[in-house]
Amino acid sequence: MALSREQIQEELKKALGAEQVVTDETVLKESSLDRYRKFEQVHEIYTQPIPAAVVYVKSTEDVKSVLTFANANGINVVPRTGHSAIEGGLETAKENSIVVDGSTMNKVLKIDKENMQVTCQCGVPLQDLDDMLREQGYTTGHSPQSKPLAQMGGLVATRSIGQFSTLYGGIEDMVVGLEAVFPNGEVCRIKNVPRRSVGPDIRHIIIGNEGALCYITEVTVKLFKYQPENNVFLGYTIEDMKKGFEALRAVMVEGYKPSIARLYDGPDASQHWDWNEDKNVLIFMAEGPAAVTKATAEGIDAVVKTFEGVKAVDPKLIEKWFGGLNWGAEQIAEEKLEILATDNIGITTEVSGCWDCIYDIYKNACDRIMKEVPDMTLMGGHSSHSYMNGTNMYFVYYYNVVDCTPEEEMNKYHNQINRIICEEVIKYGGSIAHHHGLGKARAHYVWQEYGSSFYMLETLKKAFDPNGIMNMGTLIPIKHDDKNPWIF
Amino acid sequence: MIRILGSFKVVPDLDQISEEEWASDPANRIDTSYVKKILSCYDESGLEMMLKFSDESGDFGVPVQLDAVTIGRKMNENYLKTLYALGFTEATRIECEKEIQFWPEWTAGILSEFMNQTERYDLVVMGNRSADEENGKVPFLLAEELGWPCISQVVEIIPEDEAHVKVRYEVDNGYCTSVVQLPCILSIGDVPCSFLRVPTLKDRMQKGKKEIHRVKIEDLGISETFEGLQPDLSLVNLEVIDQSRPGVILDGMNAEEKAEKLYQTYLKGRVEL
Repeated sequence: MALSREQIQEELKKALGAEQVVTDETVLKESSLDRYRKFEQVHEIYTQPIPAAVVYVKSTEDVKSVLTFANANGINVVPRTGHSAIEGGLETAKENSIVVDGSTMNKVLKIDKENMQVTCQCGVPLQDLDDMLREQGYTTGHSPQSKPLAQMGGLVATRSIGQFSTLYGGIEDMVVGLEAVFPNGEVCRIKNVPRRSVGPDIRHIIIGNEGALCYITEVTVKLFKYQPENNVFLGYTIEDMKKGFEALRAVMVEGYKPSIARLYDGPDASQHWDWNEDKNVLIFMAEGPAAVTKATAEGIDAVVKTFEGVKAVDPKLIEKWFGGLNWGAEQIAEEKLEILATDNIGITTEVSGCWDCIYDIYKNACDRIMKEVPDMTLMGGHSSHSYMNGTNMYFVYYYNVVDCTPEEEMNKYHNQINRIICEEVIKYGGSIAHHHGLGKARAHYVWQEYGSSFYMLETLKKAFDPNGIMNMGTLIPIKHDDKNPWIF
Repeated sequence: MIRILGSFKVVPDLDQISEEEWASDPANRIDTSYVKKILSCYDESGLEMMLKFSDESGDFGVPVQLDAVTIGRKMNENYLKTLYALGFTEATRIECEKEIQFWPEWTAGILSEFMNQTERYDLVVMGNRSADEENGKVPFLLAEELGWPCISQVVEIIPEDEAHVKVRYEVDNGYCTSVVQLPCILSIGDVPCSFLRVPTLKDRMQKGKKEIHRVKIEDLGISETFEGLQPDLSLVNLEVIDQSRPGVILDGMNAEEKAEKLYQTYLKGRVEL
């Protein structure tokens, strides 16, 4: 028989001590969701099942203890660190879930300058880690917009990516080794080596598992030299968005490695700058040793200027703007007030596609959203992570919430916009999630996203989480309505 | 019909400038060229207040016309287009490429001449100061030039009838509500959580493309008056105010211990008093 809410709380207190188990109603409510349900969140409306407890773990042993208990009793566990998720990954989809918060596991265990790697517990805030490293002349190279909030465990669990990814790669390119706890209590460590050829790269079972397979307790990532004095910025306006994608492609294909390569469309750019006069904006930054950054910047400049409709802008405009791009608690608090005052809300959805279709994905999705979704106040986006074979598209959209309650907002607007974006991405063979994770909302498109390889994902889930206790609803939906996949 | 003119200024978003960037050049000018411009927050509150007043005016049987004016560069027209999309009737930019600072007499003079040369207004709504200069003089100087009364620290405007509006404004120990005879100037104070609403893209397409009126300063017939004159004030120094406060981080094994220490060390004495 399933344990009651009170029994779960009691057992957790016995296992960890009362001070590590939080059952305060406000905390529990706030822990039932993440920023996917932003409109509900700002109105303090909670439609998801409220968890039984939030437990603050202090060690791998604590995690093992909680997971073993949950596994034996069929209790859903939602792993969490920085609470900055925005795709529903932290929603407690089942009754009486346990939110396992690793933010108190926040020790940097070893800075290994000889081997250029740093090992830290899952709850180390990336901002703290990188600030500390930068003081010593190093960096992780990882700088997502959520840097002031996100912590190492969550960043790895969601396969996150940072603003300098074109040079340093995504988190998957940075992670060297890991420690994770599986639902049966098995603690697995993957050692730190430069590379190995010993079967499948099992790091990738853990990286991006979104808490649906295991709990990440320790992470080792690479170090890089921090040389900001050599940074070179470049900025341009470009008349035509399609040409902008072509320019990005040309830079990548010619073999340049800027740390930043971005293309903003007019509407999105206008949120950031006044000088672009509604035009699209291209941005690059070269990072590294001085000789490299000089050559990289000169090479990129030559490539970009071959495109029609390009006009260079003062690089200082880009450099200064870039310093204030990250989002922390202050911006979120300010945004809440603005949403409550105006009923105008802004959300993003990030996808990826190869060079031959990314413009079509962008154009069709924008056109369809404008036609099919009411009350839109801004529709645009930018590409911010490019690769040899394609790039991402970060859709940015705002709408006024009109004639509906906070509970109804999700199905009237947000889910509909996501539906259109996913449909267009699937149609062109792109990926529906580039770096936020699949979460619980876009999980409803997991079958189309994976195609025949869904077998592998499902098998992993069944093998590592046979009792279905790890962040249920994330990656694979608990309930799915084929006819109306986006009504939930 | 009550004709209301909303006056606004576009300013650099100074929150985007870090403390290190506040280092000024020898002329005491901080480079804000790279910073995105925003509506001065007090003016933004005033414009939203006008829209709310207009929303409510139907219930009082008082027809309202909302117009807007700004002094500045072409970039300001983006905000005028937004106001058109939100239902404003006439939007005017008084063209000025120079950045005029710390010269409220100049701004009030321009606005006064503009009002003399355009249609009759019953009410002028403007922020009590600009977010970048904070002179706090323009509404009073304009009122003096026009010979109108000026209510300051306004936080709400409510329709009354075609000759009066009800105005709520902040005073030392609270708020006062008065019925004010038109015409008058309302100087908008600190209104918490007051953001200008956002027009839909459809409204921008349908209404935001209306022609913006452009007026040259010399067309107002006042260039002779102002050319060659300098502001009374000139900036001589800038320094950052240290807002950090001394603090103590309490140590303890857990929250209970820390709370106990807080109570024993800092609170108990006050409670017992």
